[in-house]
Formats: sequence, C-alpha cells, structure tokens
Amino acid sequence: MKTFKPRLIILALLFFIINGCVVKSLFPFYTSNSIVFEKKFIGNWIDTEYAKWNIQPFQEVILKENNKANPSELDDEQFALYNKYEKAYVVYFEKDSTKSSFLAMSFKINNELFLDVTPIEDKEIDDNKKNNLLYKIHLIGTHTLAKFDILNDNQIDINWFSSEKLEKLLKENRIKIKHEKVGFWDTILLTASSEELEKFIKKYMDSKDEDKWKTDVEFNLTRVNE
Amino acid sequence: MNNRNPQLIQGQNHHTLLFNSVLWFCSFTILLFIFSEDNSPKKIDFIYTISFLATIIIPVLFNLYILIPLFLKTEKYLLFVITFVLTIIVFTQLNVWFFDYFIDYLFPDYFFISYHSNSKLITIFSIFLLGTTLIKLSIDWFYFNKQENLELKLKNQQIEMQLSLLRSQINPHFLFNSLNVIYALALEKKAETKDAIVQLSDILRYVIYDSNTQRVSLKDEIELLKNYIAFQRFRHLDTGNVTFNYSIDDTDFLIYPMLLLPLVENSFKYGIKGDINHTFINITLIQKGDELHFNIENNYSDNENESNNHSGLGNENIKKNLEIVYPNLHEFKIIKTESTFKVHLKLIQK
Repeated sequence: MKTFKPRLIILALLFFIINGCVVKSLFPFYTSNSIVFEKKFIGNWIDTEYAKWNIQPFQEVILKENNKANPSELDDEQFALYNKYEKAYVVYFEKDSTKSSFLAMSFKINNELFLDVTPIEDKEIDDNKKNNLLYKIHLIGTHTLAKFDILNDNQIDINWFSSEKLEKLLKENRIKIKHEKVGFWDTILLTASSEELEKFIKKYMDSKDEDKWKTDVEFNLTRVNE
Repeated sequence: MNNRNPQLIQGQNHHTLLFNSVLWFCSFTILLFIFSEDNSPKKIDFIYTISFLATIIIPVLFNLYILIPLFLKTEKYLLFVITFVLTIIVFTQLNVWFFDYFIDYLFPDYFFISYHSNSKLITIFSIFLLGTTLIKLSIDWFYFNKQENLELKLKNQQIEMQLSLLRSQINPHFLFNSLNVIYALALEKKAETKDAIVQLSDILRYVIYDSNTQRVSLKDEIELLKNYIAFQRFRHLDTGNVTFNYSIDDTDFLIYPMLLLPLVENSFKYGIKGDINHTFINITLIQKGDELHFNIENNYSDNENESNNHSGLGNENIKKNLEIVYPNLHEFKIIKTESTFKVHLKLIQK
C-alpha cells in the first residue's frame, strides 16, 4: 500500500485543482423561460492561456454531424434534440493538444447573463480516443454555472461559480438546497430542480457578498479574426 | 338537556391560551424534526420552522375560530367544505409567496431554496387543517359529554329532591294520624295499645329505612299495607268492612317504596270517615309477570269539599311520583260514582 500513497496525494491535488473548484449540478441551472440566445458568443475565441474556444450554434452542429442540409432530414431522435436545444451552443475547447466539447446554454436572470455548461460527446473527438469506452460508461455529465459577461463584440468574460462559496454557505448552515456528497472525494453535487437552482441564483445575486462571483476558474476570451 | 351550553356552539369551551400553546408547541416540535435533514436541527431549521408555522397559524386559527363555529356547528356543511378548501388553497399560495419574496427581507443571510413542491405544501396544509379540526371536534365532544353528564347529574339530583319532598309530604301526615289513634286507644286504656304501638313501630321502621331505597320487594310493601290496615282497625273499631286480597306470582317483584300506602291512607281517611254506616274498603293486588294491578275502592261521601280533597292533593302527589319513577310504564285511573270512589293502578316492571 505504501507505494500507492504518493499517487493518491497527487490524485487528491489534481482533484482539488481540476474537479473541486466549481459547483456541479445534476439538473440545468436554467428553466425554459430564462433562456436567451446571444449571437455575439458565436465564433472563435482565444483565452489568456492561449486555449482555443470554438463556439457554434447547436442546430448547425447537429446538421453537420448528421450530414444533413435541412432539419426535416434528421431522424426523429435527432430532430427532437434539434428542437430541444434550438438556443444552445456547442463549445469546442482545445488546450495543449487536448480537446473537449460542451453543450452551453445562455440564460438571463435579473438582466444578467449566465452560462450553463455540460459536457457532450463529439464524434470527431471521440474517434481519437479509442480506449476510453469502459471509463466513459461510468461517467455522467453534470451542469456547471458560469457568470457570462459580453464586454463588447470582441471580448467576453466567463467566470465559473466557485464551489467554495457554496461550501461555505453549507458549512455555516445558511442554505437549504438539495444536494448530495458523491464520489471518492465527497464532491458536492446539487440535486435541486432547475426552478430551485434559478431561485438560488436570484437570491445569491442579491446577497451582500462583494466577491460573490470571485473564482479560480475564469476565462477572458478575445475574438480571433479569421 | 335542551339547554345546551351556548359556549359549545361558540367554540369557547376550552382554555384558548392553553389549547393553542400545547397545539403550536407540539406542531413546532414535529415540524422542526420533519424539516431538519438529519434530526439535528440547525439555526436555519429553527428559522424555517418558525416562519412556516407563522404561515400556517393564520389559516388554522381562521378555521378553528371562524369557519367551524360559523358553518360546521351551525350545520352549514357545504359552506364549510367550500370555505375550508378555499382556505387551504389561498394560504398555501400565500406560503409560497412568503418564502419566495418576504423571507429574504426578514432573513437576508439565509437561503431557503429546496423545500416543498406545491402539491406537498397543499398536503401539509390539508393535514394541518384537518388534524386541528378533528382535535377541536374531539375536545368539543369531550366538553359536551362532560356537560351532558353534569346536566344528567343535576337532573337526577332534582328528581331525588322532588321524590324526597313527596315522601316527606306523606310521613308527617301519616304520623299525625297514627299518634291520634294511639292517643285514643291510650285514653280508653285498651289492651291493644301495645300492639298498635308495635305495628306503628313496624310501619315507621319501613317508612324511615326501607322507603329510602330505590326499590322494595312487593312482599315488604304488602306487609306494610297489612300493618297499616291492622293499625287502622284500632282506630275505626272494625266499623268498616275492609278487605285486602292479593295474588302474587313473584314475592320478590320490585316496586317503588311507599307508592301504594298513600292510596290506602286516602281511602281510610275519606271512605271510613265519609259514611260511618256503610263504610267499606276493598283492596285487590294482582301481580303476574311484569305487571302489577292495584285496585282500591271505598265508599264515597257526597260531601263536595271532601270529595275534592279525596281526588286532590294526595292523588296529585301519587301521579307526580308515578311520572318520575314509572315514566310511560304505568296507568293511573280514578273512577267515581255517586257512592264509590275507585282507583286503578297498573305498573309495568322495567
């Protein structure tokens, strides 16, 4: 067992760096009433650490992946998805030769923009990973919440909601929200409904904490002119 | 029984403060543990429970002190059901608004996010309002029952007092007559004086001790009548023709004490006294099964004043007595002719 200890410590550090810093939820943070589509978000972006962000409308991606020109040509399942996520975006994130894809939904609460992000499978990315099927079947995508600020046509800030803030509220017994502690590291997973999550966001926006959106996971994106 | 306590109708039959203190303390304790996640209530649980109770107290009090007295107790059941359901719906919605908006102003540092769905809230409000209605009705029933028992006790006491009064009307009258008889015998220095005293003693013992019981055996009552008739013979010197015939199936047949004696007493008083030459008293007593028939007939004086007395106070007392101790289980008939006065009494054992 001794030989595993250093590895466990490294894993723990990795967990806290990568996994433990944003609030995760089983359900989306938005409801259908609050969704808005921001055309300005579409395009290619680069962040301060030179990671590439490619944002495309979900409807375009689903047509392209299915090699269809019109939505009517999609099969029933794909057509349902096409309609369900009509205002969603697909975010392709590429950093240090790693690629990942996400489904993002922008929504407004009290005139402020937020982004709900959840990982999705992408055909192109998945084809390059041939040995992760067994690993993948154990995973379920969670939703994360980010404060989304469009500064101008060429600059966007995305600040993920820090789990530290939620953990503090829970620790101080100042919040009653459905959640579970899951996984090896007792990660907090919100299990509240989307309506309850919106209620929480509204209430949190009104809180007096000046650093309420302060986070370790923040990105300043700049549009890349092609 | 008809004079129900008006407090029962108005719903003020309990100590309001005590009732509400117990009700809301118990409700608070139960809800606190229901709303707490791990049975160890935190400050936020106390705040939430108190706030939740604040939203449920108003509809419950409204139901207890307005809807129930106004509609349920006045038998307007449909109105009660409609207003009851409306109360649940309206106050459930008010609870939602309270926790969506107002709670943030009261407790800005707390986040009350995941609690109850609308259907669960309606269920909680319904259980609370139904439960408190049932508790209120149970308490009302308890007080109502207590009040009814108290009224029954009072009525019994009244009856006892009335019966005691009726008996006391017999005793002095009889004693006065009896002492006159013994006095007359003593004046004449008759040898029968001692027998008369013994018979009077037996009669008085019966009147004083046995007549205070609820029921006596027919055998004892017959013995009393026999003693009384024998005693009266001393007074009237056998001038009257007095017969007493009886046929009894069951000597332990129970009757109310001192019921027959006043009738015999009246016959001696007015019959023997009324016509000294043709006096008679015929008494028959037949008991069979559950029924007892008592007939007494005596000669009747045409004297107006006395005839009025004969059917007057004494018989009225007997009638009152019968109505109390044999309600709907007796017949009492007075048959008068020019020269006879007859009373028929029928008793049915309960």
